[in-house]
Amino acid sequence: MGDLLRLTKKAIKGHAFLFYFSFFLQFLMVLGVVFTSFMSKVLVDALLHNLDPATLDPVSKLVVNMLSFGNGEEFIYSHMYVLPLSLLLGAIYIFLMSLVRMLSRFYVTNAMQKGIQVLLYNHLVSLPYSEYQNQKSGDLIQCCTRDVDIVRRFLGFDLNQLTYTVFMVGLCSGILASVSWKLFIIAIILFPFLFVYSFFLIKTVRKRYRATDDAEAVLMDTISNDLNAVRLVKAYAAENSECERFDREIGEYEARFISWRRLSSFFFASSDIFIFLSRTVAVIYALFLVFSKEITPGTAVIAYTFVNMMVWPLRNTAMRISALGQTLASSDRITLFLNRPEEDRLNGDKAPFGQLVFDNVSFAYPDQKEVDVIENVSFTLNPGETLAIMGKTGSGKSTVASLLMRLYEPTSGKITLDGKDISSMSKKSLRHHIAPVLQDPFLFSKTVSDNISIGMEMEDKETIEESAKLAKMEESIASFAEGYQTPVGDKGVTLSGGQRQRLALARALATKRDILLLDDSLSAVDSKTDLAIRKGLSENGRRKMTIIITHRVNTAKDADKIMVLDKGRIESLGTHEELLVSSKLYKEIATIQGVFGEGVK
Amino acid sequence: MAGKSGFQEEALPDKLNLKIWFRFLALAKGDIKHLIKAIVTSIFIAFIDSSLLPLFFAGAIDTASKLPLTSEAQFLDVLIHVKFLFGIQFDLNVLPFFLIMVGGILVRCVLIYINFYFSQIFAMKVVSTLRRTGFRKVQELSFSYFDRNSAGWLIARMQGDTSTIGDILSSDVTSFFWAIGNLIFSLISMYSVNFVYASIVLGALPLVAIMIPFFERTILLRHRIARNAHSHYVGFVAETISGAKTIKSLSLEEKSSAEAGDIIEDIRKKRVRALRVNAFFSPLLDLIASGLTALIVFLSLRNDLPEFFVITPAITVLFISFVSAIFQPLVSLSESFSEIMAAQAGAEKVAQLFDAEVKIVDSPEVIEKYGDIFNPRKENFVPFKGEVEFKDVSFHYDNNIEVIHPFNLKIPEGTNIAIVGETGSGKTTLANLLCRFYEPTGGEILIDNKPYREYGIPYLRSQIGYVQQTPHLFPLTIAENLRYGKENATKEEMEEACRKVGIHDFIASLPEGYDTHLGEGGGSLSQGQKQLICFARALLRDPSILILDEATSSVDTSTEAYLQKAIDELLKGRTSITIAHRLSTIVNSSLILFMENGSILEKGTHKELMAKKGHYYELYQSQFELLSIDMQMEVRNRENKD
Repeated sequence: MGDLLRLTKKAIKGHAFLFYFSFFLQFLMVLGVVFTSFMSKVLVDALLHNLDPATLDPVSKLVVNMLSFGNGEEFIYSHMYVLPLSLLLGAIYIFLMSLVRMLSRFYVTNAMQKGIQVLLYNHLVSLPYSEYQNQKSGDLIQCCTRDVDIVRRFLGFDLNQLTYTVFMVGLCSGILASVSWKLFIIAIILFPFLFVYSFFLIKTVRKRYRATDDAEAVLMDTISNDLNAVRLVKAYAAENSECERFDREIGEYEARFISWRRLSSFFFASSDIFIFLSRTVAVIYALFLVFSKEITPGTAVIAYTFVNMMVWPLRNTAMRISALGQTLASSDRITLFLNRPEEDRLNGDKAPFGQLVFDNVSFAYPDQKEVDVIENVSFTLNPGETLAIMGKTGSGKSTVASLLMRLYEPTSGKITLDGKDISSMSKKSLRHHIAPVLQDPFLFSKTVSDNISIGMEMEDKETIEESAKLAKMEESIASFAEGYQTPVGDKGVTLSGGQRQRLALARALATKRDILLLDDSLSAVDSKTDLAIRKGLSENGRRKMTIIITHRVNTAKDADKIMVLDKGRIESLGTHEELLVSSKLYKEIATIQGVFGEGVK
Repeated sequence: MAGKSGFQEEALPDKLNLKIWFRFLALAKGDIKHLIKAIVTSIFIAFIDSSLLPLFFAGAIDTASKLPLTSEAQFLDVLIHVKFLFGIQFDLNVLPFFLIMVGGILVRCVLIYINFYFSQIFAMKVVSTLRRTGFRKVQELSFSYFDRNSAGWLIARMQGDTSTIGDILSSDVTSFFWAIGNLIFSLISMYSVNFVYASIVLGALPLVAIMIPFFERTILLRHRIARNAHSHYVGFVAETISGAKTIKSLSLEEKSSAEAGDIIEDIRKKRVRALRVNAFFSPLLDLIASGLTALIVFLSLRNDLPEFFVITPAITVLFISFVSAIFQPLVSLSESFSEIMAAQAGAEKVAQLFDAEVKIVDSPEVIEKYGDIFNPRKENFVPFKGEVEFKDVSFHYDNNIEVIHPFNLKIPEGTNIAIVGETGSGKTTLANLLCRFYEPTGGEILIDNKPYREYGIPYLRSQIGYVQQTPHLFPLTIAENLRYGKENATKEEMEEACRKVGIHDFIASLPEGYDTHLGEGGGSLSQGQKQLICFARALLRDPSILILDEATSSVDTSTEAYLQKAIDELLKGRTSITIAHRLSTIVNSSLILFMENGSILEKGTHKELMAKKGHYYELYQSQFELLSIDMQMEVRNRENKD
């Protein structure tokens, strides 16, 4: 509960006036509704000339005074038109109140939801990378979307429902009690039962609903699994058993649905008894009171209408309150999510650019501390130079890249840029020096052009096209239906592995950052294109610094330095020529590739 | 950025297509009794709500306004005068009156139960029937259908559209009868009481009846737009999570936040825009009703009007209650109509699915002998020897562009063939033809010297094993997954198959062993482990002919090595066609086909083709480069073994 309140407070911030004002308007509206309903009583009593102030209840007295401008009941008897006129004015008042109230309420709840959503998204995107790997993506998505919706429902709907009921029940009971406390007691005698009954029964209904929902989810999983594996099902001639399984699951679903619906129908039908019985008992008792001259016939009218106006909101509120558990769970999840520490990207010195040094760097994953992924890696790379990193799968090549970008922090040793430890720099400014191309690049479902320009400080068409050209992507792009404006992904063109890599390369090049980091990023590109790309890159004026992680000797051989990693350690470090002599592993790789590749000179 | 991108809203249809709704209704005719119960009760409920209870209450109020009659009378002797429908009038003592009221309430309660329950049950039955029919249809449909319609499209039909159809046919149909009943009983009641005021209320209905659909339609459309904006946001959040590494490493956080801000603002605007209409709608209806009330009260108070304008206070109150409730049926009718219109496009798509043509069917004689997919006659299935012959086989899709040019090929029993070539060269099509996912448009495929159509689909597929690129496991237990290969496989058989491909030890090490439940997408198994289970599944099937569609994506080296070992086990002793991507598979094949643009350009063993220095040689070289260093070493080893 505390979490929900804190979250509510957070959401109200900045919208407090309108938020509370909408409740005030709601009160004014309910007041209007109660007033016009009360007019039925005054009307009946006026017609029967029953408005004698001596016997009249205080509220009626007040209304009579209002309608007669203080002239008493005789004025009303002779100016009966004030009754319909006041009804009409009351209606216009209610119309204006509910209109303004709803507009302001809708406005403020949506503004509040926007606030929470923005808060959550900004938090999501600021989480450290490791958090994404620890969390199930479905949970994160649910927190940012469905849970927010549930909280909005609470702020925009449930709270309103609650206050509406409080205002309505408060005003109606107050007036009813002031007219006749006996009638009041008889009228509300069933309310507590209605409330408690609804609250508890609907809880069970909801439980069964969830069971039904789960069964339906199973059904949907089966459908989507079957459809996604249509080839397999057909090849294994499993159509029949699929149908049988589906029928079984439908049977299960139907059984749960029936048990749910049986109870929910029973709930609505049975709780109606309280509602209608309250009304009937109130009217019969009112009749008795009229008979014994304790109340006027007009009061019998409001016994009916007031009870009617109270019971429905009461039942709804009981239902909503029993659903509060769901809201609490959502707000708990949101709070938990917001409490995860954000990655500190902004604090720290501004990163300079200069000589890059890895000084005895080791790294192990937090959950596997005993296994060093890389161990005592040291190298120096000067601006203008290119470093190639080679090694077998699992040798720690990519870890070097992750550490440089500070997606992870070294367990020992340090990395410096221009003589300064990168751990003292702000991650943001550090990463603004690096243009990475990952092995399995992620492309956004935007246009080709937007995908290229996404990392640029300022978008300009020239740079976009130039980068595409350098990445040898221009021909492919020209072949797409809408060229640079073709959407990538579901709604547009499906790219091959090589095209994806080249597009990611163009994206990195377009950033014009100092360090180009290619993490096995041309692995799906054939060697001819690979060569052409590298040629283009070196002709395009030397980049300030390039790190290439690769498995191809041909790609590596022109680098100023080649580092061969084996099980996380540096096996050898040197130029192509040096390694051909000094490194056993490099020589072996070169021989294999030399036989089948373009040859090692 | 994305905030700007608008959504293509599906427009509402112009015309109501009743035929389609009756068609679905006919499909559920076995359960129509539920619907009838719901309709009948809804009419009775309308009667109780808009005639019985209001008229009885009016009688009570009327009596109240005339009390007390005589001072010495007992309260229970008071007569309550009820004016009922069609001018029927009667007097009741307090006790019978009370009992009738309570009785009416109890009956209503029972009716409500029947009404709610059976309309829901009918909706469920409709949905189940539609889903069952759709699911069966999907099983029957030929492969070409799935080329044209994505799984996502079909899921949307089976999930959302079917449940909407169920709702329409039950809730909307029931509430249609309720609304009509309510209107009619209200009008009858009003006319029974006073025709002048009844006519005034009736006169106001058309005005409101025009206004309501306008609002309803706008509300529906605008809320749809807002919902779409929201689902766009869900997609955006998902992308943020799956693209986290890219966002972090390119330092795109600020940009993403700004974009999210745009999208969220877009949702907010669209929601407020939709809700604005809601804010006007019901207050406006209330205002009209209250105006009408004021008019009635005003007229009833005039004493210069003809006699039939004169009503008692109780009747005035009765009319007030009628007026405030009379618009509800209109709102509900209009709502139902909007919902039907909104659902029509979906219903038509479901009908399209049901009507889709099944392209590949067996002849009646073949079905007679070997059964159909739902009733295979397994007793007649004799294992194939496994000789496959393509005789002048050619193939084109519906667009008539030939993708496989006529070719001849005879594969002797037990031969392992590898087909290589670029994407789009026709490799997969060849495999699809052999599985009879498609049929050749020219020539014939013979198995054991007999045209393969003569075996029929169930028989043929029971003899062909198929392992696809990406391992697919169902979210069932491991054992259940294995049984896809052989329905009644024993525990021993399963273990043996798993042992052969080298996954048994792993499975046995799991706490629940073979009964381990695999979650969505295979749960916590690695890609390689999943693939091995798929291999074991194929092995259990023990097919005469095996088709292996190798994965292009690279797995880590040690996995690659044990997968290769498992593949060797799988291919042993049977005819196999491998759409080969792993050079390690290719180099050991007894026959390699090089395909390009639907033709076989080269044919031979690895050594022969390498010596030829043609297409294969070049392909091999470029493929080799893409391999990781470890795999390059592995392939070299295998070549030398040969």
